[in-house]
Amino acid sequence: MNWNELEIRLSVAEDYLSVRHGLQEFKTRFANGKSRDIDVNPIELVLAEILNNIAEHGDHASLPEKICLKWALHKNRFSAEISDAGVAYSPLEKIRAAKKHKDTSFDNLPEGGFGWHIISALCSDIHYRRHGNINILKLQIPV
Amino acid sequence: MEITPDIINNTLILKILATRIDAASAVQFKDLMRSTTDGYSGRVVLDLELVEFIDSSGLGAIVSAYKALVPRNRMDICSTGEVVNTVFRLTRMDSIFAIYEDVEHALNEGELI
Repeated sequence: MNWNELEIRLSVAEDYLSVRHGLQEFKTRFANGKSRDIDVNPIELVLAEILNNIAEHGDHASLPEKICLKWALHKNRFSAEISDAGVAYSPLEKIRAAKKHKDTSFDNLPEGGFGWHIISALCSDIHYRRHGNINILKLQIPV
Repeated sequence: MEITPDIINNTLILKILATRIDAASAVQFKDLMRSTTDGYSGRVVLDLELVEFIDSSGLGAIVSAYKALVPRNRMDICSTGEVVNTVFRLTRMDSIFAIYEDVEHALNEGELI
């Protein structure tokens, strides 16, 4: 199995522009490397949510300098591993919390928390572990 | 990013001149929406024809702009692409916003997509 690798360098807290550039580079390399027609949109969406989440949840002191994205394309699924040295997070708790919010009345309409909804809906597997001071998130997306 | 406003049949059509509403542009989008709709009382339609990608921050910015309108003002959406439709469907925001095929359908309040 051939794994591809990309590093996204974060220079400031909430460096979403670097994430956007990283996603662009990922899409270019993914398009060049794939041997069949695959819809990259769900993949970009999931990666955007995870990478932005990492960029968002680090203050100046705990901001990870870089996010490492590895990916591989299999017969019917896309695999990715995203690692960073930022603050620990808990994807499964976030997904549970996102699914709990069902009140869509105008006054209680949420303006956030959609990201984990999207991730859980598009991924078939999500595994997270903290190894030392490194977050490692592995996921699979059916293609 | 820019937003061009047009008023047609008492409806404020806001065309978003950007290919992405994402975490990097969500704050700018909210600011532009606030300045463009400030004081307006009536129906608003967001024309997303040029928007190829939206993430949860972009969706949050749209919800925020909707909540900032004069109370009870409607905000509908039109001309959505595949990613935008996916995001609205997965988050069930397609039950909050009426989504039309294009501006014409939105103005005629025709069939939803």
